[in-house]
Amino acid sequence: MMNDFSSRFALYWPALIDGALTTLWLCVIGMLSGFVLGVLLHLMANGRSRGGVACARVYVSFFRGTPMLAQLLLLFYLPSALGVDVPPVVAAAAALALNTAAYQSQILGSGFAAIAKGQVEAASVFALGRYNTLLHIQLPQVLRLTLPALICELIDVIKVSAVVSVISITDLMRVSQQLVSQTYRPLEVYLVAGLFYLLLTSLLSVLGSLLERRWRERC
Amino acid sequence: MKRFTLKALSLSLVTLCSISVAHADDLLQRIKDNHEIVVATEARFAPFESVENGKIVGYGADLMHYVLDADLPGVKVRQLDLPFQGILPGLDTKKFDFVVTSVTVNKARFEQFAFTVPIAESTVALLKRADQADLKALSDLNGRIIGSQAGSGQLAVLQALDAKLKAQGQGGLKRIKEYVSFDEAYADLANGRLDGVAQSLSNLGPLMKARPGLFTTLPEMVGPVTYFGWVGRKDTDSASLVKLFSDGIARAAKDGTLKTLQEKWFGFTMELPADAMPVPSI
Amino acid sequence: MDELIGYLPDFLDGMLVTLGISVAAAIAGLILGFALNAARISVPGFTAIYAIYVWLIRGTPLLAQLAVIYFGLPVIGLRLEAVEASVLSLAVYSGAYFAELFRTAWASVPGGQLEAARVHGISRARVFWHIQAPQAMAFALPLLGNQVILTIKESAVTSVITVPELTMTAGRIVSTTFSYVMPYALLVLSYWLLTSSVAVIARSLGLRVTRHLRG
Repeated sequence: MMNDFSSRFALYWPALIDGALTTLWLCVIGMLSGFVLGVLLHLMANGRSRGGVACARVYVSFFRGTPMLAQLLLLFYLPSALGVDVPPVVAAAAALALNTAAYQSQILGSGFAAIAKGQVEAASVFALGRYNTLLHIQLPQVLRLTLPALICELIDVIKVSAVVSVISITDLMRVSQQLVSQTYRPLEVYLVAGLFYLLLTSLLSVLGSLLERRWRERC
Repeated sequence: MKRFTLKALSLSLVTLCSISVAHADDLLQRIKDNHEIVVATEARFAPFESVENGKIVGYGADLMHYVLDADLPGVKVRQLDLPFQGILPGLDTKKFDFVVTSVTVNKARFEQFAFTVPIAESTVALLKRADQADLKALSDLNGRIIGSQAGSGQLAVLQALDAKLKAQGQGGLKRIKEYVSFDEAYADLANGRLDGVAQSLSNLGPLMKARPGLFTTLPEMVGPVTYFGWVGRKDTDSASLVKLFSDGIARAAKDGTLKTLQEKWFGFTMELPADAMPVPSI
Repeated sequence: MDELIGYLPDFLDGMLVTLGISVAAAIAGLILGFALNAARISVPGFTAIYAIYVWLIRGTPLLAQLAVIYFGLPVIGLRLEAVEASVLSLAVYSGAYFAELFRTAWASVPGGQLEAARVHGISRARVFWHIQAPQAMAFALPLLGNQVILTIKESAVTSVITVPELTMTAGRIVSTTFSYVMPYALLVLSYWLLTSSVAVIARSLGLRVTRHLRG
């Protein structure tokens, strides 16, 4: 029986690796775009415009208060109703980005708050300008402070990404579904797929703690 | 002088534009110009389409290549694989050009979409476990739990049966469970959560072969004779593309290719109407 | 449009199923998480089991766990219905998060109190229930509401194993009406309504319970 499994595993392996890579780069793109969006969201939420603050609040409430699957489906079909063609990959990456931005804005928010106000004041005294202050003074520190939480968020994005399989992206989840069709062994295939996800998320965790230790030492 | 030239220029520009709009490319022409066609498939529907070693294979895949190699040579096929629930919605919202997957024709779909001529019979049978001796006829299904695929034509046929049983005062099915794909329904039939699965007879061959002795079918069919076809949008833009596929399938029927493929993938052949998709009864 | 309005009762049914599963799973998960944390504190050697459990559950998608419970357990003789399997899977999933939540909450109780209690010879059990628990629960309460919200969102995935909850209802309407935006828009709005209501209720409950702490 072991021989049977190892021959089947040889069948699973390349397909699952392919699916895992698709999952990984889709999530990284979503995460990075979400970061930029999250920073913007935070700035809006803490800005001076009342409308901006309200918009940011509604955005965060919406994207944190509804399931990823539902957001993805809406984002996939809504553009067509408005006459815009959105290919599945773009819809998936956009949905992931918009979703993670809501969470990242909260994470980054606590990071921004932790920076001594004096620094921002000093920067304005030196006429550094808001953009430079943000880029060169605030963001590096925010990143260092929130890195563990951001890695956690990336792990969440990877887990949540399993739903993109419903809009024709052949990610890790869709590959495992195809394998189930071929082998009629759902338990086995889903366990192996689960292990692949576990591998991905564990590697990221380890990476996160390594980075954390390195950056802390430099500080 | 300048103003006159400008007016003449803009007038001729407008005329030119309107002429080109009048001869706008339709979908088939755009596909030929771009050398690429985007089709959608649910590759979890053996023996029509399934994935083997990362490629989509099956009766449908072979037939598609037969048609495209002859009628659209040099056009690359981008075949997307997604759950069936996303296929018709995706076609409707222009996510792909055409659907090469086995879609059962029914009244609602016939009105919304353009079907090719039939590619296979999709008459729905009732799959049950071989050890269920007490299920012999459709009337035995009253009070039972039957499953099928969410959003599928087979599900619609099952629901029609349920309605018919209820109208005859027999109580109807206990519950209809909807699965993302048929594989999960077969699994639940095997482990006893379901008493039966409503699925097209054509699909049951590979299943019986993979799990010998486990399943069998009721002699009576669940619904009327229906057919699988491929689907395009029901607008003038897609009309020539749908016709291309339809004619290709009809040609395969005439030169015997269809029968050869049926023998290869199903182990039996089917009598199919070759001139048009028959208007469905439900 | 009239057709869609005709589907509103279906949406309501789906909402009730979603709510029912989520609340049942959240309560079960809360009890499970509490027990896991308590065991981690009091049972020697349990820390390893706790760590593995949290690592497994939080490192894999709920969809994969659900598939294992629904399709895997019958192989060893345990065949649960779709709703039962969903509640179990969601409870196991949220249990890991609740356990971590309680762990943080317990850690928030100042260490000095424990030392003082030890000096006074108060038993470990009494320390757990009468000193740590009340303060930890006050810390955790606002976060519990958040966990219920997370469970409601995760429940969308159970549509994959035939549970007739909100997401499946929307999908069914899409395939019979061929309209796409309205059902999915209604879907997100329904979830938003559910989670916002829970957030409001949790916040007001939290405020009432911790009234004594805020003077």
